[in-house]
Amino acid sequence: MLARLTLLLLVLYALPWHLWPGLLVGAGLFWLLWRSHYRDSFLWFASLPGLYHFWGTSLQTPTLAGAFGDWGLTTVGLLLLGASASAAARQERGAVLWLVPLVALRLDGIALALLVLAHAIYTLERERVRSGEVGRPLGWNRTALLAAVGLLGLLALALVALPVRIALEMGSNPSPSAPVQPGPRVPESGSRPPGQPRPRISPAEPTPFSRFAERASQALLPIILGLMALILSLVGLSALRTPPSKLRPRGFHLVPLVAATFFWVMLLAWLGAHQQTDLTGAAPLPLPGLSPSTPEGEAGPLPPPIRRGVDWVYAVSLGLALLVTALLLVAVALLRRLREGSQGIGVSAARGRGELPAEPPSSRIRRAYQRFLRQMEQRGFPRTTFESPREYATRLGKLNPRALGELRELTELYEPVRYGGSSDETRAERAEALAEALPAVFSQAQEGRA
Amino acid sequence: MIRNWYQKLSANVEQVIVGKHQEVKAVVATLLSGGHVLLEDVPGTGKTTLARALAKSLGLDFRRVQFTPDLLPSDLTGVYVYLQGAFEFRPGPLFTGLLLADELNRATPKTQSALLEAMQEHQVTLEGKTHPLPRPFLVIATQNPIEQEGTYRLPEAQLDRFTTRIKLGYPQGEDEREMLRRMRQRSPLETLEPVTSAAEVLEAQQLVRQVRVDANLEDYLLALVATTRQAEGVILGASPRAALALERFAQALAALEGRDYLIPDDLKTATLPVLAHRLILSYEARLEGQSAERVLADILSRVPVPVETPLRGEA
Repeated sequence: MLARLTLLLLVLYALPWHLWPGLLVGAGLFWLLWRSHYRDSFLWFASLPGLYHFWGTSLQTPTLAGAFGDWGLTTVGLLLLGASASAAARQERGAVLWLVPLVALRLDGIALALLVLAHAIYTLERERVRSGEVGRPLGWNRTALLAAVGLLGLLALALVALPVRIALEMGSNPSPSAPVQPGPRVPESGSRPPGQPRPRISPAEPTPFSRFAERASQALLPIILGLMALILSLVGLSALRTPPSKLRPRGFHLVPLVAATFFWVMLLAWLGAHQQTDLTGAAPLPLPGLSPSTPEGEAGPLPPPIRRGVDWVYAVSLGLALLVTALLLVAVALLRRLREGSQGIGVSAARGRGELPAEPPSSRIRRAYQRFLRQMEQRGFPRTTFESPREYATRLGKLNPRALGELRELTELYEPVRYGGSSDETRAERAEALAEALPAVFSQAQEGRA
Repeated sequence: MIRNWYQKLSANVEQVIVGKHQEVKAVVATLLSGGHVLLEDVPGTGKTTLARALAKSLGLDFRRVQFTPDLLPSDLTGVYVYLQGAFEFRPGPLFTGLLLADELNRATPKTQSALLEAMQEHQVTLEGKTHPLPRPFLVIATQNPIEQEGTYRLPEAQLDRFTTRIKLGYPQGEDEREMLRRMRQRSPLETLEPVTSAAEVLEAQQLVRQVRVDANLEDYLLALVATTRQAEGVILGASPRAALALERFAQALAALEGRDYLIPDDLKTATLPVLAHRLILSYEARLEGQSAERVLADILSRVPVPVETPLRGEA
């Protein structure tokens, strides 16, 4: 828990303060997801908390691109936080390293110190859990001792490096929380004055493409957005009706729902912007090349229509890119599943993610069963010390007869590993899926009884 | 392999014995563990029929001895007779594959103890000469727990030689009806054919010894046995021989289920039939209505089973 808090602190420090509400909401959402059977589905939900940046943006103002930038940063921050926390839950050695790209955004001593601190706390927590499993005191664990010594050394190094700050430009809008430069900066010749937005390169005249996009967006865009939102919502809702024990552990079935949310938000944003345009001025604004009010060669603010056309092309392109990415991920997942089915040999999830070193299947199954026991304990169904796995499964099966088959399956996957010393690669994935899905079934049963 | 073998065997035996799956399984597991069975129940519950059906199905030689107070040890072991100027050994009924010792507690302690060497070491020593018994060798002894007049209580040393004590009990309602129907024309025992051989039994016994026992399960087994020695109301707990029998019998149960490794449930299932007849309760405990079965059930509900501890530090 402490390690996760340190990870969150590092993310908050690395990103500008005006992104913090989205990051905190996202962290809360992840916490809720970790307590459910949608454990690793943060991949799909990471894009949602940052959507609030679009609130109040107008097509006639330059804030849309800024909102997309903030939304992207929030999403990337949450994705890296989720990946790091998820790797920490699997007790991977380099879980904290997922946050290195964020530290690179704000490379200073404090960020480095926080990174080292998070890694050290995580390593100590990991070693404590492992020591507990083998019944050995933590003090005698060589890795833990090395981690403690390394923590002190690296913290000292980071604090020495504290005065050296490297400020990086993070976009057109400088962050209020960006580090202050120690010395006065001399503006370069020809550079813009500080505080003024970077001038955007735009064509002097609207291109045929931007004109087409301008017109097409008026009619086709809401229809496409609405249809996509509707279809994806139906697909997503139908996936929710599947029994939890049959669901994929990584939450792939939630992709349509997340994509549908994205399209709904885009549609609402369009409707809001359209209404605002109608209220403020129904007549289309003049094109920039034809505007008599702007003198030629003057570098003033860009006229709204060009920005509007460019922004919509930008928005549609980004939306399509996201959709294509989501579909590609689904396709990869399906292909992987098909390959597993055709070859009859499951691919280790750890290997698939390129993690090093790969955890042996027997260890994965035992860890999955441990997680299952923990989750059931949290839901008020602990195993008593004198119960064997079969007796425990039978007792739980009496409480929820629908889950009896899956409970027996999980027990039969666990027993040969625990007592028979076998190590079957094909069974680890199934055991992990069952261990994650079954507690949720009992949570529902408990609520039903209440 | 053993699972298929057992399914074939039990199907054959259950043509005669109706609705006693667990009891048949326990007897077969005792045979595979190289031990002997004490069947304890009231008359007429099918003890002899079970022994005969098993002997026929296994294709073993079968002898039945009705134990009475005037039965002599030589009536079991055999005698030397003088024939044509030399002593010749005439083997007794012990020299068989499956011996049914009916109402064992009616014989005198001297005759009962004649079985000790045969059951433990699978051999008989007479006149300083050792005669090995055929293998496999299984003793199924019966005793009536109700009728105590004219009986001699089996000594602890004798009881300890029996791997398991099994109670058959009365059949359930529908099972008894089915038994009536099957026996109406003629007994299926008459037409029962062997489905296996002595060689296959010996091979299965070897496979049972290879069933894996996890180190934590060894600890669990030893904890169960040790707790019987300290349990309240118990004068005599389980012996080291009992620990050996418990492990071997549990291995046999695992093998019959088609597993090559032991699980805690095997030990739990084995505890009652293997240990109950070995515990001797104090007089006060018996007066209070305590029984060996209750003591063991209490022990099973107190000794922790080796399973994973829930993973801490996870949300």
